[in-house]
Amino acid sequence: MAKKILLVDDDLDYVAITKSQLRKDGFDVEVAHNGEECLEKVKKDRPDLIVLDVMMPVLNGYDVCEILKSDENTKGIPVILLTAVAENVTKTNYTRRQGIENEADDYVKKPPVYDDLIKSINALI
Amino acid sequence: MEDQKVRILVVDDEFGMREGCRKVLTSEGYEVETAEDGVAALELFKEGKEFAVALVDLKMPRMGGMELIEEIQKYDKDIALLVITAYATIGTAVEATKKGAYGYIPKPFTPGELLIPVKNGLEKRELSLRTKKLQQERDEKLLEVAYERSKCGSIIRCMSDGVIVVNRDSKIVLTNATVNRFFPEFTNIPPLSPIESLGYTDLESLLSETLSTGSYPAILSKEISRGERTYMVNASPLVKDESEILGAVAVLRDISDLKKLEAVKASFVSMVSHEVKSHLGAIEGYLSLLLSDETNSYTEENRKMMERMGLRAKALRTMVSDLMDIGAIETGKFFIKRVPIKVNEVINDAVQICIEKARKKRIELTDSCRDLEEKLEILGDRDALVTVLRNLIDNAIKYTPECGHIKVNNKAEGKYVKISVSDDGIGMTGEEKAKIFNEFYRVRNEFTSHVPGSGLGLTLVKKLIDMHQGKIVVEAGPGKGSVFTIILPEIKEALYG
Repeated sequence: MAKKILLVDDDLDYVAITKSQLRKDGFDVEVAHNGEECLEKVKKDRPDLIVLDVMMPVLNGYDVCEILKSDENTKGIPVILLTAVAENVTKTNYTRRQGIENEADDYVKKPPVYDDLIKSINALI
Repeated sequence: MEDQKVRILVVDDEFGMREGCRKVLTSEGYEVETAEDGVAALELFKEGKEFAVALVDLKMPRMGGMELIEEIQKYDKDIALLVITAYATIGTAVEATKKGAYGYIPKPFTPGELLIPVKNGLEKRELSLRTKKLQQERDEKLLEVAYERSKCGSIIRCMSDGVIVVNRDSKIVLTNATVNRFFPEFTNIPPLSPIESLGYTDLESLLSETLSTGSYPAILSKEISRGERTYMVNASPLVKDESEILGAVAVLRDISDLKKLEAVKASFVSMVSHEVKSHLGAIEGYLSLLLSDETNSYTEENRKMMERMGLRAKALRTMVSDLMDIGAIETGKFFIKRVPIKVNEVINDAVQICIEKARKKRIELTDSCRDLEEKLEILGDRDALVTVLRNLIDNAIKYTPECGHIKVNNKAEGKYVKISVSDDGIGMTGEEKAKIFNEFYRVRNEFTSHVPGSGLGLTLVKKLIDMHQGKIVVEAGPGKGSVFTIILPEIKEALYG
């Protein structure tokens, strides 16, 4: 059965592009446009992996990630965070230093280069 | 010497005496005027006439010699006064001298007996004039010094930059009002307070470093922060006779507003770049979707056009990425990871990214020492170092004509790892070499005019290498190719050195 990926981003163009690329590579793709919608969809239909944009209205990616990772039921779902370069590295440094546990499983620079994204997905699934 | 004749006044009530003196003195080259008594003589002074010598008879009607001597001195203090008298007694002579007469000529006298005291009197006058002039000059000098000193003082006091002067023992000799405004702690310190007593360790270390430089001219600069303000401090040694160090002077400028502006600029650049990048990413994404969609039947030409569009969008995105990275580094928001990485893997990644581009230009791109240095490791950020090498190789491809050669080398040298990218391209001049790490600088000549680029690549390379505590060295000559060598601390050195 095809692996299910939940794509969470408020940028409709990226969602459209990434969705068709992932589908072409044989994944089953679900889409959410903000953090709240993401949490609802995870509850209803557990995905195999979540690609999560950081910059979103309502709940941002970091917050969503934190909620998912501190919940026993969703802890095991791999999360890839999409961030801008500077934020990305700052965040990883920050979390490494502070020893925060609820970290994403990987970070991919935004805008995502599809090759990087698929490499990261294949490594986690 | 003055051409003007020396003027002598003869005051006597005897006509014969006056004219006799005139005759003798005129024949000696003096200019002579006469008066028949004290009142007439004073008239001449009142008219503003000046004389070097006055011969004054003591006994005269209307105003006698003694009184006249006193009166004349009210007009001229330096005049040589000689008394002529038939009643030559010691008493009158003493009295006349007390009143200011210089000499005494008893009547009757020979021409010689007249001329000698006149000459002596003239000499005395000359001397006293010269003394007076010297005195005056000295007074003026003193005034001038005092004025200069207060002028310097005012200039230093009123400067908009802060000034701190310390002596050789790092004790504060001078601070101006601006420093006191910058650092209120400096306001009421007793003279010769040691600078370390104020707790400004950054300032203190800069000044002691300045004192120890010993060479002249040397200027050390440092930015120091107090609260929300940032100051640029330029310190230089105070040197006497180009050898002896008397102390150090620090000039402080408030650059807080500049800093604020810089931060605004950086965040603006970062915001704009981010927006641009996300749009470009979307364009690229759609293009690659269109190109990979096999159900669409594009003509070969259309496909080529779309590929070109994709390449251009990608080039633009890379450029914006570089700009963002530089912006992030400048605002201190860019951190590099420091993890052990294999040098070979970094080189391999960078070469893989560039190999296609090199192939299209029929340039031979090789990394030679890979097998030999399999285990070479450094502590750093893989992405950042790949960016560095990608930029260097990319540049080599840009500035090497078709069918050229590019070599990527790495080797351990002592505590360091050297990675070099060498090409047999167009090279550069010394002047160009000095500027290539500047933001937006691009080498311009007939070969480079069609080479695209932003002039940001090497700026980024330099900044990233700096963040790795590394160094980058360039060797190049016009037409002789270029060699860029990165020197990074080897892992053991980075961890324990």
